[in-house]
Amino acid sequence: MNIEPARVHRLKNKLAIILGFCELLLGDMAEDDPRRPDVLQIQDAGKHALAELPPLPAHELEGAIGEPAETNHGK
Amino acid sequence: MENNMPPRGVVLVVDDEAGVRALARRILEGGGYGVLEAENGADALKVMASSAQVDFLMADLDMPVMRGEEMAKKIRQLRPDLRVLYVTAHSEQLFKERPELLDGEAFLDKPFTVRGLLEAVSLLKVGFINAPPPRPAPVSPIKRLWNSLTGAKSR
Repeated sequence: MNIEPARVHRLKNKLAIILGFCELLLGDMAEDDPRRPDVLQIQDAGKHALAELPPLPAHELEGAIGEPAETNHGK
Repeated sequence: MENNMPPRGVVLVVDDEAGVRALARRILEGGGYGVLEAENGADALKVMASSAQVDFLMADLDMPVMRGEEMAKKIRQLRPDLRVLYVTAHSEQLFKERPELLDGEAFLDKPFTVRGLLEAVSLLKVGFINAPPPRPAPVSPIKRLWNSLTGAKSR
């Protein structure tokens, strides 16, 4: 997979949010909550997406972070 | 804070991603910490100048305007006692620039888990991970019978 380093960084940020809130939701839900399988599906997909991202050598990241990102709506 | 217990400390969460700040707030407040937020280094410096009670800095390394490490360096010049948790998706970058962390500094990989974040802050605070509250000692069957006969409470 060939993704520019800054995009990998932004995707990791988004996946951190998805996975983190999944974990919080699962922690709040009872074991028999009917919504639990749905959240587990989201969590599983997020983990697989994270595993698909390529690792970034530090030298590739330098200069890539710090530029405003068009796709980063969190700002 | 949702309860009236005094916070374990106040964490200034600095991250340019609003969702990451919201996540950190949920986790840290759930763990008994107070939370302040800033979206970049310049904002964090303003918060530090205006708010005396900040015990921990949770700093995203990869931010626009001012990198997390530069921000932390400036803040620690004002508050050398401040404990700093660097959060990064690229820890190798941090260690390339600084092979060893200073006292009162730690790092956490992103994405982080609920437990990972709470343990990292706890480690910075007291040097060890908070143990869960002790479970009550089991009540012996004889004592349980005595309690049921006399109406006494478990202990």
